[in-house]
Amino acid sequence: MTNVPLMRRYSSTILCTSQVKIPLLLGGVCSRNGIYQKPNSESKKSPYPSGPPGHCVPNETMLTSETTNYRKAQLSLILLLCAFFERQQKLQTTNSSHSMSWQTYVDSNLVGSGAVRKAAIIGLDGNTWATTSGKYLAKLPSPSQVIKQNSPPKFYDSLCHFCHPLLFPLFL
Amino acid sequence: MSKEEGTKLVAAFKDPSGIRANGLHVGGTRYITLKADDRSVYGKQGSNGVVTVKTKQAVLIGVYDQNQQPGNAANVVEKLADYLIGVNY
Repeated sequence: MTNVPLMRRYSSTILCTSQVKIPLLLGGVCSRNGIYQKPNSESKKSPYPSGPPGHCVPNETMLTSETTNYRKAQLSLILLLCAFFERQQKLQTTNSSHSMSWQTYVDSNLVGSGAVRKAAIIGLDGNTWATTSGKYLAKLPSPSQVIKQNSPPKFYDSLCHFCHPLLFPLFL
Repeated sequence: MSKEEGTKLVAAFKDPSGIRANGLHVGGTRYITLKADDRSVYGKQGSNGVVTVKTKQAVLIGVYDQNQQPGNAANVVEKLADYLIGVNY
């Protein structure tokens, strides 16, 4: 196979799958979109094997309703993503403060009183929440999470924070 | 405090027959059971001992050694347990 058909195959695959996947995830709002594709001879005899010839080219009448549906799907997906990542961030912060407070009880209230040498707090499932040695065995952010917290903001977070107001009018 | 020890200790608050027969294992040490009811389990090994009290969502464990008074240790752990039960933990 030469380079040119390979490139053509790649581009048509990316165009088709990326347009189709997102609406499918949201319950199949629409299946096709022709915004970025021109009904030319190339896409009609597309080497993309699974679909019928020219399946990426919509009718003119279908274009408007499907386009708006697709826009709605995109918008709801972005909103969902934003909500999801905000929730993840909240969960992370609450988790870390949770284990810190248990460690405080062990260090200052139990061992700090001088009446006990070692102390621990465990959950009713048997997981250790805090011990004297300060090694949390459960409910502790894993090392990778700690590295993430100390590193600059993640790509998705920064994307959501900065692009949310910008993307909003774009997808209406 | 391993997970196995933890689950056995939590189960002992419901049914103390296991720790009465085999002893209470905390942090790799085996303690003889002094007292076991649905709120607190006390254990003793030589002049060391352990005080464990169950709250609503957690179990507090305190270990004292020969330089510390068992009564003081029990007092401290029970007080913290009372506080945690009071705030629904």
